[in-house]
Amino acid sequence: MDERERLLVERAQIDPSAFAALYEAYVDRIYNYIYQRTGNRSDAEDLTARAFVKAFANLEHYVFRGVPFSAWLYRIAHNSVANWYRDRQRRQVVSLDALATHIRDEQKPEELAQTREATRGLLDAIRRLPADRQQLLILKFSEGLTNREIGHVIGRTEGAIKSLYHRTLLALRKDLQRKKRKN
Amino acid sequence: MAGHHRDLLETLDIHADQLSSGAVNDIEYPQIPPEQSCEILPLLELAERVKGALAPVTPASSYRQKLALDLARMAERRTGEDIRITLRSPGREWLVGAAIGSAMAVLGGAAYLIRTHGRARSQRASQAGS
Repeated sequence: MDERERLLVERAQIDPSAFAALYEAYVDRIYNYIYQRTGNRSDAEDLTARAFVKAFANLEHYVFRGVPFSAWLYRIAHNSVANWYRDRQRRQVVSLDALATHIRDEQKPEELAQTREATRGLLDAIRRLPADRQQLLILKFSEGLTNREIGHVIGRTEGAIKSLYHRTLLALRKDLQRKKRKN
Repeated sequence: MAGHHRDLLETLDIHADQLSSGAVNDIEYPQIPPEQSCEILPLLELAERVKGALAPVTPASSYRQKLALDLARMAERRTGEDIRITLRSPGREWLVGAAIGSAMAVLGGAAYLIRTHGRARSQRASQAGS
């Protein structure tokens, strides 16, 4: 945990109003993480709010024991998403929100349809992966975390993260090929 | 075989780092032995597609501000509760002190009675003896 993060956490543990600085530092990252897991803005907003309220309520119990505050926050976000899926028994679907993010304005209609279809298929396949593999891809490619930082969130070593990344790509490719054969 | 696997993991890892740090078009592909290229290249291409599909998004500023405000209100309430608890605690201490004082008084009374009773008995015994 870097010095700035440690000071922010310690201040917020003494003075609840200082939690605002932690919120400002992490809200975009946590929102993006949850959005990538759920695929739509309204659920991402709801779950981001829940994650921050939970972090605020439990901040006094946070003690640095090798897990940085940011990793602790990602774990809360991950649990919020997991509980949400479990409670509602939702099927993970790709929403129009998610697809709109990847569509470029200058594309021709037929290219646009192809891009949309390809992105939908890939995002569907990513969201069919087990939770830890989804987490790995999102933290690596959408949040830009290093293997070490990802290891803190998922609770694995850097070496294990490298192996998991390889297995994840293999599984994803297999799933996409299977879907392609079906169609 | 183990060395080959390790090389594969390293190549994928270096490629992923390059993807995370820069534009997809600027990637310098690591040196891949020809016998491994058919195994690795499809995975590198897939990683690039994944990176593109998971483009980061930011929350709406109105949402961001509203949540900040909600959390600030919660913080205010919590600060208020902390003050109330601090003000209430001397009362609790007083109660504990009173309870301890009462217990000491009861014990002292009991000790006095036992001592008085013991003295009276020993006096009666000595009078009976004389």
